[in-house]
Amino acid sequence: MDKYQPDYRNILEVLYNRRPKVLPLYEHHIDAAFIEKATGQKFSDSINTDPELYFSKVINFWKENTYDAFDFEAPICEVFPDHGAILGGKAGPIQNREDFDRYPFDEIPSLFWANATPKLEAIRKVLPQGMKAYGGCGYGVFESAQDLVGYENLCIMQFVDPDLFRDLFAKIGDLYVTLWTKMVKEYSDIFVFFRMGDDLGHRTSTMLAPEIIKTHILPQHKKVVDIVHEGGKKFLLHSCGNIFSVMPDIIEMGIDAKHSNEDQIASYDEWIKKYNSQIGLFGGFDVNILSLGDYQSVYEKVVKDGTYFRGIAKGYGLGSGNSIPEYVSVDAYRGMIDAVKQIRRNDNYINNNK
Amino acid sequence: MNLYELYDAILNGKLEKAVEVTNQAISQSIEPQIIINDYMVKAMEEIGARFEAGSAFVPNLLMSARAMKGSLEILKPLMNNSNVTPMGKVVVGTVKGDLHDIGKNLVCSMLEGCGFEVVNLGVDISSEKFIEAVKEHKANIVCMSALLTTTMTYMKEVIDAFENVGLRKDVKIMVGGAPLSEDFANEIHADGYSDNANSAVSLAKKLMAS
Repeated sequence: MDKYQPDYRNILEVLYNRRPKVLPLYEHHIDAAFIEKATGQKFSDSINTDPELYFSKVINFWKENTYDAFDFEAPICEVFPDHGAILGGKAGPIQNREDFDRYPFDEIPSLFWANATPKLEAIRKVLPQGMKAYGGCGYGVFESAQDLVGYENLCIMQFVDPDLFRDLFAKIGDLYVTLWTKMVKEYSDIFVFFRMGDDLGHRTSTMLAPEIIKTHILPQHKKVVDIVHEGGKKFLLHSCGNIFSVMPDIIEMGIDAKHSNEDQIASYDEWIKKYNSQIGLFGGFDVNILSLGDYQSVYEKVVKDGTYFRGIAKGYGLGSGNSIPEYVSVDAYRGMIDAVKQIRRNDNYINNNK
Repeated sequence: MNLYELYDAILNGKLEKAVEVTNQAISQSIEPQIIINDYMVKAMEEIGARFEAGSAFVPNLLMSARAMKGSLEILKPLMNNSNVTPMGKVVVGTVKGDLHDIGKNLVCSMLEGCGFEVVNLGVDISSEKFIEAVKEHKANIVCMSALLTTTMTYMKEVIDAFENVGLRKDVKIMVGGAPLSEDFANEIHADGYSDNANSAVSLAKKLMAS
């Protein structure tokens, strides 16, 4: 078979909620540690010292595994002074109005671009023909609030200081407008579409009440969606958890596609049946399947279910329900990739014999 | 005074009001057992039921637990002289290799709010640390959490370790976390599984009664 020629226009079809000619692969992220494990090449230390080398290795892995585009997010939370509450184990730097008033929000854009620019420029230099990135500014509005306050303290703040809670989300929204405006203006050439990840749910429900999400978080999301659309690009939301109660509002704010699914919450065809008439969908295979399965079991499941998902959805890109962390089995991952190649061959056979 | 105000305060997560009514109740020599069992626990059961039904959310649970805890702090000194039976002592931790603690901390807050004594060991906890804590605190229940498919298998090692040191019969073991299921809990011979912080409290109560 001829070597796969990546074509970002193919995966972009999903964002238009149209059926791509070739079934595209999609991941929210593939950990550098997993790529090192799969290729036997160590390179992750070079991200700051030699970003061109780093991204050459990363992008080549995605290309070799027949993706049309790859993920890159410049992380917002990681440049927050005194950040880390989102990981738990510590309170965030903002616990009251005084903390909020003195927090150096104005310094964040320069910190963000100092970190992001060398990486974005490196990507621009090493992008292979036919490939682009997706992503943009990493971490979502709710995730930033959690990193600045801590989830439990944020829940309490909602009730004991509702004005601060409101002002915090508005301030984060303003910051996102600043960062995303520049990202879209200066780097649209290297992104096929833009994406924001913001995990809004847990297994049984949303992390905050739906009305709170609609009032304080989605309006900030919408600002980003509008910036992306005004820049002539499409927008994908990645959001984990049981967020069915706010999905109508999320779709209403204008997203073009959605990613993330967990089998413990809903089978993937439920996502397709509910939303495929309105938005494109990515994912389909719970990360547990790739963590616990072997090559053959994953291959067979992905050929069977992937063919079904592609058959019933309009815009659909296949991948895990989340990311490929280091602990995913390389064999199982290869089972998924080979299964997608098989689905593509089956599609070709059907098309050639029509 | 109207003790239903205490029920309402806890149900609605009003810490100051809950403390105020509790102090009034104490000043009128109402038995702590009545205050706790007939009003506070009932309020927590109601917010838990609302959470299960999807009409209350994690922030509501946390606020109610916070109000309950505030009232319990006031009642604690009086409980030694009353007929109140402690709910039980629970050692909680995220298992070795896993650093996630949001879900685990929610379980701690709910257990504390509902009257359990909680020893929160933190994250990345080895079987030795769980065993040491159970011995030190004479705990009734061990509650283990994991978010990763790779770390949840360590739960079995912890259970085996309790078996090996002869403590398994003395302690109930419950497990939870995103990748787990009831089947997995049965497979590793845990005594129970819960998929959220509220049902963890119900399970802990059930295990204490068994």
